Amino acid sequence: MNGNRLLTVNNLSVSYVMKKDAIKAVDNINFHIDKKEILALVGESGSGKSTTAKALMRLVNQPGRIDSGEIIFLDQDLLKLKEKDMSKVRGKEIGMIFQNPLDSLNPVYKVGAQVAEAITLDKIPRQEAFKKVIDIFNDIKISDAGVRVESYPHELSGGMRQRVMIGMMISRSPKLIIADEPTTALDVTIQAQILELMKNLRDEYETSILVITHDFGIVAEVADRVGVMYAGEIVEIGDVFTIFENPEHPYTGLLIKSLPRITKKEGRLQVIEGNVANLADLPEGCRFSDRCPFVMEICHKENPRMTERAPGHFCACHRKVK
Amino acid sequence: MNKSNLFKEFIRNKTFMLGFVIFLSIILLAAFADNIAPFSYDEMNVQNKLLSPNEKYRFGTDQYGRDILSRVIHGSRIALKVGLIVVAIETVIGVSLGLVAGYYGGKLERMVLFFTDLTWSLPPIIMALAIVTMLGPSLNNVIIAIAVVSWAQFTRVVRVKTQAIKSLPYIEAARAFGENDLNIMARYILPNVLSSIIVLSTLALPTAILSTTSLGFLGLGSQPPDPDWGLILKEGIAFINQAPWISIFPGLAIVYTVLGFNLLGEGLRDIMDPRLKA
Amino acid sequence: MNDMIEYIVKRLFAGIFVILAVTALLFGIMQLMPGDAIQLVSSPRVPAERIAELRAIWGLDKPVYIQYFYWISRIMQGDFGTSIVSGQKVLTLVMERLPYTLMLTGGALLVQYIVAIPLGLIAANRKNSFLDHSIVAFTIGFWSIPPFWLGILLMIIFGVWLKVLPISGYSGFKSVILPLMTISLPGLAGVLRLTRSDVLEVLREKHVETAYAKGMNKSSVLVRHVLRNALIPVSVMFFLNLPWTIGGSVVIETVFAWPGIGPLLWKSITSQDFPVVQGIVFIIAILTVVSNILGDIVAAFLDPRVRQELKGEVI
Repeated sequence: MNGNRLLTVNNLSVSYVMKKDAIKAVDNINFHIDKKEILALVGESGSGKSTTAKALMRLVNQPGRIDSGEIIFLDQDLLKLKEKDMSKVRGKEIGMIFQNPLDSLNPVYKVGAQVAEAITLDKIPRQEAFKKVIDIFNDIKISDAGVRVESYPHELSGGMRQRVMIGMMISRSPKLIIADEPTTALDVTIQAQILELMKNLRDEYETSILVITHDFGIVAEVADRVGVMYAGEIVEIGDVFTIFENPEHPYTGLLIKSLPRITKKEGRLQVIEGNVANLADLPEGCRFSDRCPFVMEICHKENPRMTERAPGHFCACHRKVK
Repeated sequence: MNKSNLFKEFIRNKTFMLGFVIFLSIILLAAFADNIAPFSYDEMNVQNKLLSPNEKYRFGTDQYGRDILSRVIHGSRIALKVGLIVVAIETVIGVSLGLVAGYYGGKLERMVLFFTDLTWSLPPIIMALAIVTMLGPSLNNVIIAIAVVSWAQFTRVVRVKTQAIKSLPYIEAARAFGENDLNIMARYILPNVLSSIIVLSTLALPTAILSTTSLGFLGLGSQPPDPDWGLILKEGIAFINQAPWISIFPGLAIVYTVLGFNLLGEGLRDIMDPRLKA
Repeated sequence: MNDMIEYIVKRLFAGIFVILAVTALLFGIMQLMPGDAIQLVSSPRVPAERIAELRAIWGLDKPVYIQYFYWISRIMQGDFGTSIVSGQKVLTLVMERLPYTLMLTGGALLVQYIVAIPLGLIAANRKNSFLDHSIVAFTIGFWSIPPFWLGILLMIIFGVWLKVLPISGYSGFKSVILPLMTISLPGLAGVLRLTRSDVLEVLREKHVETAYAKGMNKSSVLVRHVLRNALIPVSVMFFLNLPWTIGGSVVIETVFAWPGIGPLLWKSITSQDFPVVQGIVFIIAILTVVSNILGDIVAAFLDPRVRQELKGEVI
């Protein structure tokens, strides 16, 4: 077992059961996260990335259900744990930051109390817990921590709320934090600050982060490694620099090209043809075949398997770039 | 939502279908009461008084020998008529006031709100009692009383929705074109609140029937010998020991009717405007 | 805090205004009815001069608004008028009977909430289970039952057939049971529905997920993040339901010959004993306004977002 390995996901599948059909939102994916690294999972909506995040925390609610696979965190398979043991893992070992912080905080309690509530789960007495909350707020640069602690969620700005969420989830010093679209609802300057904060967490607190996003720009900013998801599968995964320089999968290439770049003199914004994959109606063979600019005969017949193109760089595509 | 899809939604909703079947049965009962009921509602046969349910008198007889079954069947006419009229009145008043209040705002809105609050200043039953006291006991006055007490729910919902719609660009465009206010309210705003109104009206029916039978029960509505279900119930109390069926059956009729309309309304709401829940 | 007090005072004033308006309206229309109290109480043989005399004594010869003014000023002094029929002070009559009504109303509300809240929580938690479907069916069913008929039915079953419970009047603890059940059951259905749908609503909210993600276990999440939030509208409804329950009690009391305000009101209406009717209506109006204000206060107390809105409104 790799001493540096934090999380290994093997053959994870998650479906949503609607009336009579089951739609596979996540189909047999494999990936890992090491200690002190930031992995980004990127893809369009419907690609399965959010579902994956929830599955890691076992927070998949009906009508969703985890069909199969292993989620090995340190040396435990999370999927085999009883619920009460899993709740010990949540917050303490793995934390999660959600997309829209206004709805994600309870409007009825002060934010300080909500963060302290997490801390007290570690049997720390309330007084001490509150002090710790103020320390955390200061660490993550929430100004006027003493005042903010007594505020209600609706009294804070979006960026502030997101910091509170982060504070809440790092308060028990988890080894892994899952950030589901952490900056989508925020404006650009705040976004930069939050991303900076995440890099800090990795470097100073040695926390690993799984960032779920649809924005390749964020990937470029903050990720060490990146996995690209399409229609419930991971189609490419590897080191972020390698992938940016040499994307193997056509979808990855298109995602990168569609990033608006100020340096380019002119040229139209690259667009990916076609619509987001409909999970209920997938094409035969490779799922990307109906939108792929490099599509070949075999793509319509066989769904390509993941192969290692370079150390640590995996891709599932029939086309081999040399 | 096109028409055929809507139709299918209705059929698929079990609550709605059950309610609709019951609703239909009541309408048929009321329409053909004369043909269905074995006797007329005031046919007295004193030697057959206070008989328990049997072959000839399925629901038994009362103290005057009148057939309870027939009285109940004829009573459906009163119940249905009253319920529909009450709801019609409260809908028209409530919606108009709501439209006016939401559209014009300002003083007009405050006035409307004041009067609407007034109808809420007493619990509905007490208010209705007070109104009937003032006007005198009769079925018509009961109708007025219940309508007055109930229009507030329409005003509230319609006002809020009107305010929301009023600020939309196409309304401003209409005004710029010189369309008069009445036109705007009728042709643009009303259709948009229609689904909520339909749901509220349907759900107001069972309440109306419950309230009017309550007042009938207190003797403040229809007067004898009308076969008002509440009235029959009241008359039955005196004979509760010897002939409990006099009070039991009209009550069952009320439950059947109210339940049916409730189911109808619930089903309608699920399909047309789920946000009205709560 | 100051904002809250300002808001409460504002509402109180508005409430008083509404009470005055309602009672004025009722008062005025009652006086406009043909014939008046004096005529009703006196027999036809009383000479016309005597009637005029009585009218003057009772102040009935003055214009309506003056009469109303007198009436209000008397109320301020605690004199709610005198019953035409019995000659007793209205206040006395009402006070004799109010405790019995409150007994039923208070008891009913207590029963409703104590039973409905846990049941609603369970039902929402196990949505679409057999238990949940049964509970929903129960609520729709009982909500369709006219309370007065339920009372009669219970009377028949427990009083006539089984003969275990008394069916009229007050004769000790046992006689409370039937009227209490009659009032509680339909109301219970309503509260149960509300609780269930509130909890369902809250369960859908994202902060519940956050609570789980923090590492809290199911029961802590349910109590601290679900129930606490869902109880806000439920608690407010408690106060808003109070006047409604009193109204319902009025009808049920007449069914069971319960010595509360109900039969008094009904008798006064049918005998056109206006002072009593006016007095009772006035008292109930006050109770209604106070309940509504209490409902608002509770909402502000429990929900910081409402407090925020209030701040805006007060300014």
